[in-house]
Amino acid sequence: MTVFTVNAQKKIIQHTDTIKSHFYNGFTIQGDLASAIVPVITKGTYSYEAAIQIDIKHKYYPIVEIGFAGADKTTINNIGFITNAPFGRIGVDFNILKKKKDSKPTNNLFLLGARLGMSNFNYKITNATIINDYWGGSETIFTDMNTTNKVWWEIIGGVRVEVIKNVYMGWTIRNKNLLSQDVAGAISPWYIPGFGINTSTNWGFNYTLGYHF
Amino acid sequence: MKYITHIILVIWTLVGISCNTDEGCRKDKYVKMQLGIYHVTHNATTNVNTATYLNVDSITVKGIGVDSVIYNNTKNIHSITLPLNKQTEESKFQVTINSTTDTITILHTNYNTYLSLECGCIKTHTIDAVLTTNHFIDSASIIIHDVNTSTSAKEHIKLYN
Repeated sequence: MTVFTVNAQKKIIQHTDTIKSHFYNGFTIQGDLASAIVPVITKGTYSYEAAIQIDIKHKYYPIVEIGFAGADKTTINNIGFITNAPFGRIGVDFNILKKKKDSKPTNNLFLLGARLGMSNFNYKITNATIINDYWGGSETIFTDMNTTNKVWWEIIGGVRVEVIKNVYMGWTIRNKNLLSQDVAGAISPWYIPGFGINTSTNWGFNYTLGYHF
Repeated sequence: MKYITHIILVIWTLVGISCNTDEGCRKDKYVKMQLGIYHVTHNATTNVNTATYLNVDSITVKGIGVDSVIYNNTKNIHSITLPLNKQTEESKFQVTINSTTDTITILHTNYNTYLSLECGCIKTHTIDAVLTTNHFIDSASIIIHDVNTSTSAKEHIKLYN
């Protein structure tokens, strides 16, 4: 009887595929899935947007966001507001996820960043009625198309997770702040494309799906 | 990480829905002009005129051209609050104080003031001039020209007896 002894040979596999820190590491094109729930959260409005984001040194992520948003709103007093316009934002995100020395290389990101947003748009207010209660009669105000330009800044926080190779999903929360206020008493827009309802501070949310090239 | 993401998403959605815009108007839309009634006493020694509030026994006020009465034989008051016409820039009131009738004419400029989509527009005014007949009222002076939501609780015109 012959006995064979097999000695298992241990193989030591070393990870050599660590993420290289090139200056330029491609770009991601991403769309906003949260657009679908915008009309549910703020009735009478819609907003669609997409972005292109560049990866520099896996640390800095300059971004350009463009979108199209609008509102067609009638209040309980029958006053109407209409706008439809494009908007844009530029900014940069910083990946603040620290990679542990012995951890597996990852493409997941935890981002903090800032944006400067702008929209130049036309809007119309209809059917604002002033009742001359004591003297009798009334006056209904229909404005022509008003053109305005709104600029705001944002602080954002978000997460990107690589769900399958080169496909990223994640969310972004935005705190938006208008740079200029409306003149008291003057006609002003109810909704600003890309910013939301016209208040000095606003919140926004995106749920993004992106592909990295 | 995955669970935290989903929890934050759900919380944010709930907060977002609960903070949905309230369509009611919460801004002040009250725009009225206030007039005070004064009696002037002359001090011969110091040669100084002093105006003090005059509580009238009765007052009836109506807009000329309008049937409804704003004050109907109201007793013991020294101040009246009147609406200016939002569609013309002249408001005429017939004022009967203690059975003596005067006509007060206010010349004013009207402005459309936009509050918000929920509240709409209101009319605000600037008083340009006040004219009065001189039966009970001796004279009138404009104290505050602007009639808007922030001045409606203040006295715009003084009527002197």
